[in-house]
Amino acid sequence: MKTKRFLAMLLAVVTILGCLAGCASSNGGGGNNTLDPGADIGEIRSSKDTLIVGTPQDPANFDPNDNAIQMVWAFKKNIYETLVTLDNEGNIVPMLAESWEYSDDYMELTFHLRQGVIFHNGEEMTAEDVLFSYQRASEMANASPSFTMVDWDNTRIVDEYTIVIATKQVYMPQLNYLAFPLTAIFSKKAYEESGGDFFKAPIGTGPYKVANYISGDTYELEAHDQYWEEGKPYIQHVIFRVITEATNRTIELETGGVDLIYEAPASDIERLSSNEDVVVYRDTSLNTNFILFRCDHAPFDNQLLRQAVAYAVDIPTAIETAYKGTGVVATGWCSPSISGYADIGVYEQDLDKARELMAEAGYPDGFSCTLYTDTTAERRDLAEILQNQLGEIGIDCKVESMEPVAYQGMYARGEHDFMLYGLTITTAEGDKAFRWWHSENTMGQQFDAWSDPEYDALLDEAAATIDEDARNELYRQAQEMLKEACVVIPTVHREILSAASASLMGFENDLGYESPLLKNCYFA
Amino acid sequence: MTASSKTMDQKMAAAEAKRKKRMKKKPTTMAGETWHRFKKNKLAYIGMWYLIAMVVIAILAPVIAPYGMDDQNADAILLTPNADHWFGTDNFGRDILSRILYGSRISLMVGFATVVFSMTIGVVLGALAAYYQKLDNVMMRIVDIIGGIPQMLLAMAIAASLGSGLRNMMIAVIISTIPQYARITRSSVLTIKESEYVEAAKSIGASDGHIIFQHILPNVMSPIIVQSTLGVANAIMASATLSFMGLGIQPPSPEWGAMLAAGRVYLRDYPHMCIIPGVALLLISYALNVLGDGFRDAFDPRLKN
Amino acid sequence: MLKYVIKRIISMIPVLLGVIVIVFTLMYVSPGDPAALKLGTEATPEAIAQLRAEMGLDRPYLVQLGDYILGVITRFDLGESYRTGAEVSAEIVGRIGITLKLAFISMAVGSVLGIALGILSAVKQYSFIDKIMTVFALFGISTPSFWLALMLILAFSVNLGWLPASGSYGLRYWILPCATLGYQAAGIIMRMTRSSMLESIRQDFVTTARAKGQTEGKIIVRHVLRKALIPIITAIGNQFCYLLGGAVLVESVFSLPGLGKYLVDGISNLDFPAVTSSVLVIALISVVVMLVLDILYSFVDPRIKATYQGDALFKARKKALKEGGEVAHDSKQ
Repeated sequence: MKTKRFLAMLLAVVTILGCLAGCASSNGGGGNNTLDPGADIGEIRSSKDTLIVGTPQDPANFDPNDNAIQMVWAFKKNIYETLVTLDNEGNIVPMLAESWEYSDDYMELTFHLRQGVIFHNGEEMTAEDVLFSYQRASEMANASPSFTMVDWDNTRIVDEYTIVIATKQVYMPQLNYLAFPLTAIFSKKAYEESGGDFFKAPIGTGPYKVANYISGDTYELEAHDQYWEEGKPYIQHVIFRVITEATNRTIELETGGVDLIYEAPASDIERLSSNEDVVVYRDTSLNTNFILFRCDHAPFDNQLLRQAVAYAVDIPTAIETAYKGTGVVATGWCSPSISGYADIGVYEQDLDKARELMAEAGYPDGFSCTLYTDTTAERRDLAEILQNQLGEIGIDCKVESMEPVAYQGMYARGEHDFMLYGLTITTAEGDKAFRWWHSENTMGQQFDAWSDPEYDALLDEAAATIDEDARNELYRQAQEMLKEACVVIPTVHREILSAASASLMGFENDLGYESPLLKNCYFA
Repeated sequence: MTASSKTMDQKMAAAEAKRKKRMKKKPTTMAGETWHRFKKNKLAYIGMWYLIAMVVIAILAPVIAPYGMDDQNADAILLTPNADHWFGTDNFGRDILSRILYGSRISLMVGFATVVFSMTIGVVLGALAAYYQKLDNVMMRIVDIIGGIPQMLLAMAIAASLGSGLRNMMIAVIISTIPQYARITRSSVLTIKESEYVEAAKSIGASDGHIIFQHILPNVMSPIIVQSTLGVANAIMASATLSFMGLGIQPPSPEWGAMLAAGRVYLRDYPHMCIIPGVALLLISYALNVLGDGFRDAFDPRLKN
Repeated sequence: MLKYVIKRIISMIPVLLGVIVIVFTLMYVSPGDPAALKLGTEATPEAIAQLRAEMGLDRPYLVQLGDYILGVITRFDLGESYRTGAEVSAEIVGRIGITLKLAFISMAVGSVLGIALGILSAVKQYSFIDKIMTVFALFGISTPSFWLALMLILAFSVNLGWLPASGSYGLRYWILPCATLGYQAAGIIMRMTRSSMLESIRQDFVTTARAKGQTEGKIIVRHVLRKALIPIITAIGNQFCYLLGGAVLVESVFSLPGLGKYLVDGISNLDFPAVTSSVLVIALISVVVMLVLDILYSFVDPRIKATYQGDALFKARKKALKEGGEVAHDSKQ
């Protein structure tokens, strides 16, 4: 009896001690960051002028010219702004520049800057800042492609609010490149004064400025009260929470831990759509996913076999399963919202034709090949379905899925027979969309090793063509060539999937850069 | 005198009979006794039979699986367990029971194969280190270094470096577990090396190889067998973990960890996709663990509590 | 004593250097190109080559390795992250708190639960409770931690809605991750406690104490538990190191921004300095924990040579470690 009581007491004491130990250490840790990780997020929210965003990716750093990942821009676009930007119809619209015009020979682009744009440090933005930002960007690895055509000798500041950007030749896509988030404007003075620490406390013109952050976890933004657009932003605080796991993001949205999530998982869309407290924002992106053939070795150095595959697969059915009802089955070689898109029709499943082509190529009983994919859930699923479909006409297809890093190494070495990949055309115009298959495009060469001088000539001509209709006609011809050569099979235009609590108003997906602006958001 | 000697004889005869009787009941060979002790541990016994059953299932998977490993069926997507599909179907309409059965081949093969390799290498290294002082310092330093990195982290680093795939994953698991075997062998050998019969063998001029393989290794086998049984569980778990993290075997291969990773996005609406592979992993690991416990208790009766 | 400690600390150095060499080499030979990854799909080979030069990736292997080691030794400089461009040491300092907190809380929960249940189980040997406890402990050991984490999320976040599934903003956020890791630790510590308690319960001094008429409770705490403490401490120490490895997974599943997640992100972003340095820091922690344990033993029991009985895994590992130390010691004398 006594023993029992003693043991019960011992257990009790030990348990209490344990709890105390647990509590003590939970109060102890946390580091020296300004945002107290122990603070209950519920407390901050009660005022409801705080928007909490669940994002899959942390911004890595606050350097506007760094990082080529859309979800990173989604963060930075609230802090930094560009001279012009893309609207959801694919038009270039004013941002920090109010207007612009070309010189008569189309070699110079003059921007008239908006007056009274105030940086986070209280200084006004001038042409000096623009030139300085562009010069730095042109030296940064990720941002420099936007400036390869810029002629720095003739690029000049006219006055405080006017700047001329010159190009080495007539290069119509240049304007689109300046809408690219990586070409954002920051304060020259603040940068020079900071002595290398600028991007720890960045100074931009955006509607929000960085208040506190815990690297890799939570980023708190605060409204910029001298923002140039009157009355905006509406919401005082924005907190980005990095939630890598897609399912966890949905759970957090459903349980009220966040108000808005980016990259909602396709498998949860149905569930979220039926939830009355949640609004799902679905928009077709400027992205096209492809099956890309490597054209320099067997079996797909043979155009007939490439076409056979195109006729063998049933893309719409495969997409339906793999993308769980999201995404738009590809209708062409780029997204329809891109200027230069031509509706020339895609290959449709026709097994007889596929068999015919295989026989003609000398493989009447099929052949074997390996399809590579990265570990993206949808692509991996698609690969498995395609494998099954190809099996039906005797094509013995192996699937190899790889981590992004290994994947990149694989296609850089050109080891694949064919592979799955998606390309997002962030400039929303044809030059970038179709330059992938230009033989001077090294990335495109890594994918397919296909080249055709005629195709190259078409694209070069288009880039220098000022008249839009004439340009689009050249792009149409280019797409016909791509279709005939069957270098790639377009599969799906991915959808941008965001979801927010129903009380959040004014939110809109951003088609061009998949980086929505939060300055228009408010709570009902 | 006669009386007492008679009782003495009687006593001796009785004792002899008793001894014979005991001998009949209890086998006298070492293995036999061990087996006898092992059988008394019910949990371990069940674990053993479960394991045997799994091995049989793995071998017969193509025969007993109701569907093919990779048979997609667009009309039977994401079904919860029912009469046609006992464990339900996944997002391709593939039968999860069949995939679990096929998956047992991978898990068992990986588990046993990696242990055979890492045990062989570890035992040889450990024995050499213990036997040759000069080698010892160098070898144990290396083992210390490898052992200084938590096993899972090392396996991840190796897998990341080599790339995904079955072979690379196995290499990662093998390398990361070698130190365990090297250490255990070394310490057992060190103890036995000082024992009298090894001294005796040395004194009659037996070669080092003879002593290591004839005298020492057989005597250190029991801790190694215990360790390797637990090691199989450990290896299965490690490879499932690597696959779960995307560093191991990739889909469509029905490896249980990979199945779990694939089912993860369906956790809320179709939890069976996650629950079932996890339970399969749990059971095999449980069986191996009780088996290892049983072996240990059977080999070393002093430890039997 | 001091001499021994200093000796041990010095002997840590080659181990840690070895860890650097191994992990650095593994990263170096891995197939991806960090520069190409950073630049994304649109990069030209010239841009990649330029960035490689900027990142110092075009230097020979030995130069890179030597540079890194030199930085670590002379300046405690762990390099710059390829992905963020920030100092890795600063990033690690910002994250290590989360990992240590996770490991410490789980360890506290696991030890308390494991020791308490282990005692109960040993005292009530062969009882129904004992059997239940044994099964419970083995489940803890056999359950894959990532699966347990998912099941806890399923039960407590998705179905019941009681606890958050990700983040680290308050006590509620720590319950599930710590339960995941703590259960595993509890299982192992419980088994260890039980077997070493049983070992000492049978010894003569316990019988003597009983004969003297001491109460059972006193005997358990004063004699048995004290005697059984060393293997338990060993198990706790080993488990702590194991936990640091397990934390990697749990942090990933629960989106906790700790060292483990940093490491995993580093692997998928080819952030070599981040990977090498975080493995190095974790190895350093586990080596230090082992050292502290060894020092602790000599306080608890000077006759440390006694063999550890109980769980084979830990017994063997510990024994090997100890004997390794002793052999080195003897040969020097």
